[in-house]
Amino acid sequence: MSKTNGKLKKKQSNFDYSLLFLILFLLCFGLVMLYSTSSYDAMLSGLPADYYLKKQIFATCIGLGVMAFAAAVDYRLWQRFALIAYFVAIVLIFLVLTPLGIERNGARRWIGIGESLSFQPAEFAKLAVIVFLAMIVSKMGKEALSTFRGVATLLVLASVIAGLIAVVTDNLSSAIIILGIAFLMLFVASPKSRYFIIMGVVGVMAIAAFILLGDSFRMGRIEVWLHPEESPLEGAYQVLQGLYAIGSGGLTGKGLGNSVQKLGFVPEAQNDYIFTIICEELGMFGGICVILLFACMIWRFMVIANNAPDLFGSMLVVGIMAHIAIQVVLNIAVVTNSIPNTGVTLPFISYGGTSILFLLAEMGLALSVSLRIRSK
Amino acid sequence: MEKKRAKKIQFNKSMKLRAAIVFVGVILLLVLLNIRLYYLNQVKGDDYSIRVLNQQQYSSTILPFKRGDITDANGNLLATSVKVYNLILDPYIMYSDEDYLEPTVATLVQCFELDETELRTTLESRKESRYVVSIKKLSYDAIKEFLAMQDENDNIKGVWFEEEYERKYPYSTLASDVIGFVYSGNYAEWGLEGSYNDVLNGTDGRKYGYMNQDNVQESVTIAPTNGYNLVTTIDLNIQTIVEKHIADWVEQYNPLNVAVVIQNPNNGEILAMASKTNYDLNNPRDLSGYYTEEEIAAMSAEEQLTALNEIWRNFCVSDIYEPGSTAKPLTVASALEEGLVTENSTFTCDRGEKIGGWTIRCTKEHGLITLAELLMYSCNDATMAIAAREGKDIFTDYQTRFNLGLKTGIDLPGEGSGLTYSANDMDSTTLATNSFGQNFNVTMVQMTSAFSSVINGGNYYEPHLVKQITNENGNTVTSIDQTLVKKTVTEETSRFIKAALARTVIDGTGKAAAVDGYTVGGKTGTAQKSDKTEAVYILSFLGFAPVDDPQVVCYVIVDEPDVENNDSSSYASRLWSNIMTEVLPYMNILE
Repeated sequence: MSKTNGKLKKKQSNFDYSLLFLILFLLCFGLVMLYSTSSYDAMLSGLPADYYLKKQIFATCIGLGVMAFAAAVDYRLWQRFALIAYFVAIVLIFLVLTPLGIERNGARRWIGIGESLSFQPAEFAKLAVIVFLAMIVSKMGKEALSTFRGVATLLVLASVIAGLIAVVTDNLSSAIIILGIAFLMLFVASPKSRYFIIMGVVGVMAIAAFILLGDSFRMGRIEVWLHPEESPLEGAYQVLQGLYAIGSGGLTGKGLGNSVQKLGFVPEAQNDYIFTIICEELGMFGGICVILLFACMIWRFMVIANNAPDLFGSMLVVGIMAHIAIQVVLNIAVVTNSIPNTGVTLPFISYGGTSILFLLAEMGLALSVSLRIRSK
Repeated sequence: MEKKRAKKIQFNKSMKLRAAIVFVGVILLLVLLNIRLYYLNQVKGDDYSIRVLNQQQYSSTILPFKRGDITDANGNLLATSVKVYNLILDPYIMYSDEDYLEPTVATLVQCFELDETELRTTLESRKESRYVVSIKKLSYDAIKEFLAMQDENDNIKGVWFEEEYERKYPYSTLASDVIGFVYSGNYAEWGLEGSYNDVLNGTDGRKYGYMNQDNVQESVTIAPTNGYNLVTTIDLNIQTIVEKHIADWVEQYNPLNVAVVIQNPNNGEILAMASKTNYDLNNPRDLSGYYTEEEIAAMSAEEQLTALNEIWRNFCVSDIYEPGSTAKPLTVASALEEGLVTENSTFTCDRGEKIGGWTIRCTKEHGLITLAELLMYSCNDATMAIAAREGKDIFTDYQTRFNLGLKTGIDLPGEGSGLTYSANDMDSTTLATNSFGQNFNVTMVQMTSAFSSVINGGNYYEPHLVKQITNENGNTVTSIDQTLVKKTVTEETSRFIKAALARTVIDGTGKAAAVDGYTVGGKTGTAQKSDKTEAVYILSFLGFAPVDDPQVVCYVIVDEPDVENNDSSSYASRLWSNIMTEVLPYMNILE
């Protein structure tokens, strides 16, 4: 083989134990914080205090099984299923419109049988896009990747899914994440930088136009972002209460379980805004530690991508890295009111069964790649 | 960049570089977010903290738990928490309607000792505030009148009462070293308050106000969980008797210290425990009883704390000293156990022994004496002979068996473990002096518990002060019965020691300890303090009653009485007798 395998000089197994540790640590930490934030909300709804915790533990256990399976199986196998996954993702998105679709909090984003067995097609779509793009890139050859046409084709393929998610399931944030993943994967794969600089600029302008020319709902979000303290809108309340939580935590926080803001002030604190409660209970120190953990995780992905035995493996891990990075950055940016509010969850920590399940499947793939790195 | 022959390409240098760019970009973004977090915390933190507090005040209040009571063995309250009320003003509400302010102010001035102009100034200056603490710690009686008037007049608005508990000690100084006190915030370190802090504390409840889906204010109450109560083994009356006699002795003989421990030998329960220095549990930081005003003023904060720690310290469990001859029964018992002496053994005392280059003297030349007479006349020479037969291995083995030099596990904080020699470090001189209680250090609790085991048939019970933990309804949560730690001696040895010690009081060195109408036994002690150059002594008496079936063990020490014959153990024996003369009838002990 060429130099591609080389930087890590390990003697035997190349299995990435650091990554595994980071995953397990974040999962456990997430469960503790989830219990802390969700118990009041659960009791308020007349549910047992550990209602959300139990559901999350259930999803985590299945997820760990899936992760172990994905790590054990040679990731190259999935190349064959990439195209199928792409179409399955599209089908699943459309299933939301059928009677199988489930509406929650005014959004029809879930499919399933009953309340207990349901999942979000958007989460599957993220994984499908990563596998699909990795497969195409690894098959495409360098010349094709250097042409605008090649890059554009791939972006369009990803945009189809992103567009469907935005329109059919009315889930703009997931669509942005998918576009972001595709953008970063192609940026890494293609030798031509200028396409991406242009695309980046166009993209930012498009988003700006989309918001500015959009409906009052979107404009409202901007208003909330700029002046949360004056806006009477419901979103402002959440943003502001989240900021209060972060600000009142101080350096080391009020202590685990002692958040005041989770007591009905930050609505549904166990979802998108869980990071604010972490900051309130464990302080700025706790918040920065969580960010550091994610930084370490992203670094491990880069190391694995650099040493993967083939391009498919590298691109797979680059996609996963992009996914985690985008969600972490967007989530923390939203809760600190650095960008306007979009509903992005914090990986491994926020409540959400489908999310945890597919995240762990992705982790399994990354671990599978690391396991098959050949030492020099 | 590498050239690849086939169409199929690898994750090449260019891609690695780009992956690194993505990585660095993400890290940069995360760093920016950290800076944003820092900004929110440092720049906005105070403002946001206040906002959090503000919105809490009208929508969420803490319902405090009641810390559990501490009672004596018969249910007399030694420590309790009393509900008090803080008068809270809400000027925002008072000014929200012009009909509210006047009647509210009038009623406040009428019911509480408030100056009207001052009150109006406060309200005026804090118009927007929702939480102004006006008067703290009012009793229910003090607020009753206001509550009644508030009930009748709907225009009295913007006043409410925050509940709180205040710790009260009805007997203020009684058993202060044992009970301990509570710092603010229901936290304690000293005494039973400290060792059972978590048991006594409960969990705060909360009353939340929140907006429901239709924007209506609703409230949910989570009731507080009150703490558990402690039923101690302390008997209020015995403790009072003990403290009275200690005070009496302090006045008469001005000793450095006087300390007494009374234990039930049959289960390890401590019935009373006290030493010279008491303090007012309701006012633990008051040094005025111990120092002059000038002295206090001259102290730094640190010196004051040192002085307070000295006062709060429980001598009976924390301080160590050389026990002296009260250790002889232990030496004799161990030799009997090992078969090295019998009840009929005799010894010759020739006023001392030369051991390891030192001449160790006896109090007088006792001549030919029996084993029982050794204890009766407290003969050092004979005790040294016994220890020499045992040798240092057996001797130290028995010290450990009697738990000397080890913590007893008593349920009080800051227990001392004493200071004993290991067999390896022990020379013949040390063995000789150790045999009669010099040259090693113990705590009073150690001596009392070891002695109890010798006279109760050989059962070493863990000394303890709490016999029951009950919940707020008085139902038992945990029952703490006697804990048998080990067997020390056999019934036979126990019987012999009891008889010999009874004779010690009838006809030996302990005559002064006799109690009219009761059979008692015990051992005197006169320990020379080796850390001082002049000849000063800790005098002690360790005894029990009644002889046939001991129900109570009492240990008295008197440290350096300010008297001529300061080596006379009678200062301890007489005090012992005085205390037991009152305690035995009170306990209904029948001969």
